[in-house]
Amino acid sequence: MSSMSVQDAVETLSFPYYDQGLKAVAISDRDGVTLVKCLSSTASPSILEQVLPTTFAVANAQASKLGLKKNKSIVSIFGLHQVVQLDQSPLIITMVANAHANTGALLDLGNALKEITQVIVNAMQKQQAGNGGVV
Amino acid sequence: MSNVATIVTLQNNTMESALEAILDKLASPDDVQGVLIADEHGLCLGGVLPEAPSNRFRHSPSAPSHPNYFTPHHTARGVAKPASAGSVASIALHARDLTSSPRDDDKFQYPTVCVETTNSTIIIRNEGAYTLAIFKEGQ
Repeated sequence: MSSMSVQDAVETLSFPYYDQGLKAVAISDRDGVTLVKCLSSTASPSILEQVLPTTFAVANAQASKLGLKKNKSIVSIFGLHQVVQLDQSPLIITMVANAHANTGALLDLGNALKEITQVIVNAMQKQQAGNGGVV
Repeated sequence: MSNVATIVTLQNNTMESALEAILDKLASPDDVQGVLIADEHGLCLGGVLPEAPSNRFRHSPSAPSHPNYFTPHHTARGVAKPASAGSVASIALHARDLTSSPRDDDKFQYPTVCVETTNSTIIIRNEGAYTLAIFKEGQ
């Protein structure tokens, strides 16, 4: 049985979407520390700014207070780009794509990535429990 | 139960009423299992839980004739899952890319995609902005 690193798994899942306008995928925590980063060949690394997940963390927390249960995702569409972000507490999945890209398809990709990041989240929770709750 | 029916039939002029009327009409034939419409971003214009066969009271003598008696007012119908809107739009747009003539050419024709499985067919079409998918029984 061969195992794949998380980086490779994210890369494999994201690859088909680069032709459809996806530029970059990042998995980070709420403070903007990046765990996994994938870029299409046409994207520059500076597209994934630290401000993206940190701002999402604030907006997500506030959106969860709208009385509609926990907020799951936020899509921001700008002139040239769109940013699709999903909450996978304590992690954040960020995708940057062209403005005209298929948002629905990107949300599908985000949900598929959630299955991968769930592995990391479970490991983090196990470790925290092992430390008696002290990080 | 009849009070609920009255409330449902009185809820008429919302901004999606016209769209819902069209989707209801498309979903009304017996062999249509579901209908879904996606916008240009691949997002479902609404969302609904799949209608279980036991909820189909349309032919029951005791239920009113309003087709949405037991389903909430959303703009996917039947077995069509709102989450599949992205895939449906993606299929339609990729099929459009297969046609060789450019979009502003007079001869340009929008393709209709049929996805056939053993027991059902999904007919998908996009004519510019919206993508429509009809889930039908049989082939």
